[in-house]
Amino acid sequence: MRILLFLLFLFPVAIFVQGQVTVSGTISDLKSGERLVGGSVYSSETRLGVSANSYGFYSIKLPKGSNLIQVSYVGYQISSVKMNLLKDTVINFTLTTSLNLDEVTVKGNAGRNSHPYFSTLSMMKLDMAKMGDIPVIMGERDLLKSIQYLPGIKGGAENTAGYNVRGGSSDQNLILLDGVPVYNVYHLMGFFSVFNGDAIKNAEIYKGGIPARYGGRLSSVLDVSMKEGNLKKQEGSFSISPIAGSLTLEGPIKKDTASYLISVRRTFIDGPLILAEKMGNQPSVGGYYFYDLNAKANWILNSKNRVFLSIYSGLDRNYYNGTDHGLKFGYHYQWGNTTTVLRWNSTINSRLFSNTSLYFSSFNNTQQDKSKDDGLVNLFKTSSKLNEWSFKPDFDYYLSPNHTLRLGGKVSLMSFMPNMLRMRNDESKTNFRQGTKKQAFVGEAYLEDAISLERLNMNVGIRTAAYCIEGKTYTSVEPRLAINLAISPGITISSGYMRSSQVLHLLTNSSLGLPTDLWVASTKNISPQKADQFSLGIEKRIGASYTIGAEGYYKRMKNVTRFNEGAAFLSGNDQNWENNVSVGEGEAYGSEFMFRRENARLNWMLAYTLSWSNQRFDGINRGQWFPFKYDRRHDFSALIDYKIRSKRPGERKFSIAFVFQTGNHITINDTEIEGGLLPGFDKCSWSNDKVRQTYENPNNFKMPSFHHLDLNYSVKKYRSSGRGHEWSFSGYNIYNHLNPWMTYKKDGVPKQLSIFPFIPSVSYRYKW
Amino acid sequence: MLLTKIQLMKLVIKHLVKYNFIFVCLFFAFVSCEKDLDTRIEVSPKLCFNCILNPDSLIKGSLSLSRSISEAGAFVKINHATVELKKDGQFIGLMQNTGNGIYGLTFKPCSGSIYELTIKAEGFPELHASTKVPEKPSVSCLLNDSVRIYGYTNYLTTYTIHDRLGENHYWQFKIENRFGRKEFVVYHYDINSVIIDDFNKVTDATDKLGFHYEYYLRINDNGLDGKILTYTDLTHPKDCISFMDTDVHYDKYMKSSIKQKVNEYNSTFSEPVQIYTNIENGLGIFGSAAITSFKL
Repeated sequence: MRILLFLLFLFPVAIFVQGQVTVSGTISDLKSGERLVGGSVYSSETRLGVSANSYGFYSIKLPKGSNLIQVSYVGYQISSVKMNLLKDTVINFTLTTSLNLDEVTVKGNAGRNSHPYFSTLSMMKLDMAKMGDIPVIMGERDLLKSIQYLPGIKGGAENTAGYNVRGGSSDQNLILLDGVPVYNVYHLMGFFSVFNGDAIKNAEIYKGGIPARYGGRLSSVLDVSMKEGNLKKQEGSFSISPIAGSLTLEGPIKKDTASYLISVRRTFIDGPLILAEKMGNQPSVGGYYFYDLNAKANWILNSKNRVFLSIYSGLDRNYYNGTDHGLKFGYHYQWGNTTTVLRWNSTINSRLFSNTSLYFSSFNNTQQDKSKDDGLVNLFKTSSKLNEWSFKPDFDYYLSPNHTLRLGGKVSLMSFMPNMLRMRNDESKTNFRQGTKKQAFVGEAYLEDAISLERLNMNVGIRTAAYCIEGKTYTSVEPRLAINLAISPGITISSGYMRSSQVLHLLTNSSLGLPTDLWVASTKNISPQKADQFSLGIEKRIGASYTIGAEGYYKRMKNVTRFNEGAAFLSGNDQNWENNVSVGEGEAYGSEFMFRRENARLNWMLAYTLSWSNQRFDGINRGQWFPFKYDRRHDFSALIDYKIRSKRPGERKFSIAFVFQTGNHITINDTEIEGGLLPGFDKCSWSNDKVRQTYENPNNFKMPSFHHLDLNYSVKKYRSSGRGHEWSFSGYNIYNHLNPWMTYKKDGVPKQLSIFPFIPSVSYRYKW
Repeated sequence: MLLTKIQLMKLVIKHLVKYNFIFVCLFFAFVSCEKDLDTRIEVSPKLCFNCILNPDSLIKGSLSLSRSISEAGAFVKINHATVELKKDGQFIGLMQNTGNGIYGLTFKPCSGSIYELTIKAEGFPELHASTKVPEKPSVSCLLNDSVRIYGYTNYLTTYTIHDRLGENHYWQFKIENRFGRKEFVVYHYDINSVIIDDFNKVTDATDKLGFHYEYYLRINDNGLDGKILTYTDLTHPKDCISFMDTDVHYDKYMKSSIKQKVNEYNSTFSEPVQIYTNIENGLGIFGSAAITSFKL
């Protein structure tokens, strides 16, 4: 009897399994051959669907027989194919961009949640096309500034690209460029990011329930993918703004087989300045510039294998050279990143896809003073370096329509040289070097399962990591969970939990509010940071246009670091940074709200965050809690865009952006006390230094709130061939509110420096 | 006064470093605007008591009110408080007010004893603090070679501290009286030794060693508990050299005070310093120090 029952249960399963075939392939753009990340593949018969992975690969199990398969992607026409499936089949879809965006996106999104495992407040895919419509200062499109309009993401100082997510510091954000971590993503002390908008294909940001495949940071993940290069024809674009010029070239090396992409951006404001100085016969010349270079090449070896090579190099340099009474002097302060990655995509079988990467990432920060007189050299140089070599295999296994497994790992060799010092003075016969180099080995592994049931979608995973340095090994086990439950059509409840660890620390100066930083790593004395985060939210989608959501979070952090009181950055005074930091804990909690309308003529996004973030260190403030520097109580932003004319060839759009943020905290002395004379000084009749200045608690002063209203008007004229141009007219800070950018003291009086009054700008972009 | 070449180089480089970031900010600003920042922070005045116990001196302390940083003038002295002292848990007396916020007790503290302070003043919470008086440091010195500097004879002197078991906090300072002028504290030490704490180390390319220590030397006995601590310094015969062992609280107070002083003149980007206090519900310092001084 039992055997009979077993056979009865097994028989339909067997029939079901035997009656299925696997359809797999890629989704790409028809005109360029670019793979489309996250494209949707849907079967109306089974009412099941999957998303293409980060490399445009998909795999779906369907019943044998006739199937209607629909493929969609935002901004593209839906592609449908009806097939009689008898065996495993490979179908590579190529999609065409939609001439009428509204029609496509309504059909594309109706009835399906494009992020089945995460709420919109925890994970968001960024629309790169819309990034150009956001009014930004000096007309320079910037990814990192664009994301600061999202709830829960707050900028640092005004107009800086540094950002804080859910009460965490800026080093707690993992920023990946083609899978490679980028350590310093800011130009010009944070005014601009290193991401050249012309070279970016896709960007996703995770704030809660971060999947197990990501690790190494506590607060968020920004995963940026570069374009691969047009496989069909040569293309290019040139853009110019008041601050920089950019040139992007892409095209086939061999049509439909190999392609390249090169994108260069550089400031040019130093040119006129140098010219003016030379024409004025100035004894010295100074200037500043930055550049970004993105280069990528890929080769399709065969239908199952493809290799990519990506390189990024970026640098900021501030310099000042000259002569003075026969003395030659030169000063420069520069910082920059270099990343290189070799990737191999392989479709192992119809359900298993692999991506194997070998990469190098480096960050370097140097300050040098050098002078020479009569052959005598005086040199002062400090530098900070961080290098990472990694090998990273990842596998996507489409187990069943309800289960997509991801597994993989990473092994890394990291080297750290923070605060190296080199000094030479021929006059006093001083010549020495100081600083230490440390190496660490990191091993990581993860397993993740994306489970899709009828109303319940979950992403469950676990990540483990081992970090070995100076004979000590730190291990961590990090469970991850994200749940989305549709309680009724259009309404979902989401919840998430994640534990994360981070071996890197970014030490920032908290006194003057300047964006200076120092990357250091955990050592045998400084443990890795750890965090636990819980989130709970609700979201309602109304039709294809409206989304309204709210989400609360609570985050607890351990082993966060901070400069000790009195520690000085870039001074070279104490080469052992471990003596200058304190280790403590942090706590952050809050609520995020969002109301959004999209896919219409008039679109908007309103975001509001109410949050608290505090820290505690044993050796600071007598071990009591105090506000985190970026503890901003209220954060409101509004982005509105209206398509005046949406049809080609002349699209016109008007955008408004408004931001209001409670000021961040800085530490200033607020109290004077009478102190005793220090030993020895009591014996000196001339000394009467008894007054001491101190403060109640760190970050005791809240800066004034900052807010600004920005406008943007864009005109795009593109032909169907893709050739055309666009003008963008922006006004930043329309009502000229003087927001504080930096604080300092002048004659003992605290001052605020505002450097962004009303700034109009025009930028131009030409594509061919 | 004509500058030497080295002084000129130093001056140019110092200005380059100091104004680097300001230059970049202004370089990009179409219009940069500066205005006073209203940093008025509501601070309630607190009682501030300063008293350092020294086995060689009678007990004396001062009591005043703290004030907001925007205020000026003399500190408000408190003369109506009750200041109670205990030694090793036993009451030893009330410190008597002698005017101008000064309180004293005709009593010399004993090394090794723990003293507890309680201050009561109307309108303020009760203050509490405690300190353990250290022993005088055991120090010897040995004169080595003489060195002529600027026409004067100095001696390379080896100082040896015989560390006691347990936690110690050693400091050294020097009073100069070389030229018949008034005495002044030496504020510049060119010493290279692993036992010197780097908290007040200042990097300077014009120094012979590339750095110096400012105002005091703090000597670490970490890892050398109970052992001999040795270093060498140049000393003039007319200098008065003092070695001090402090309790943990005065040690932290000294460090925070000196750190603030050093950063004021040497580092634009230093973190602010909160002056240490061990006075519960108040400010100031109730600490102790024992000093050994000598001349060559």
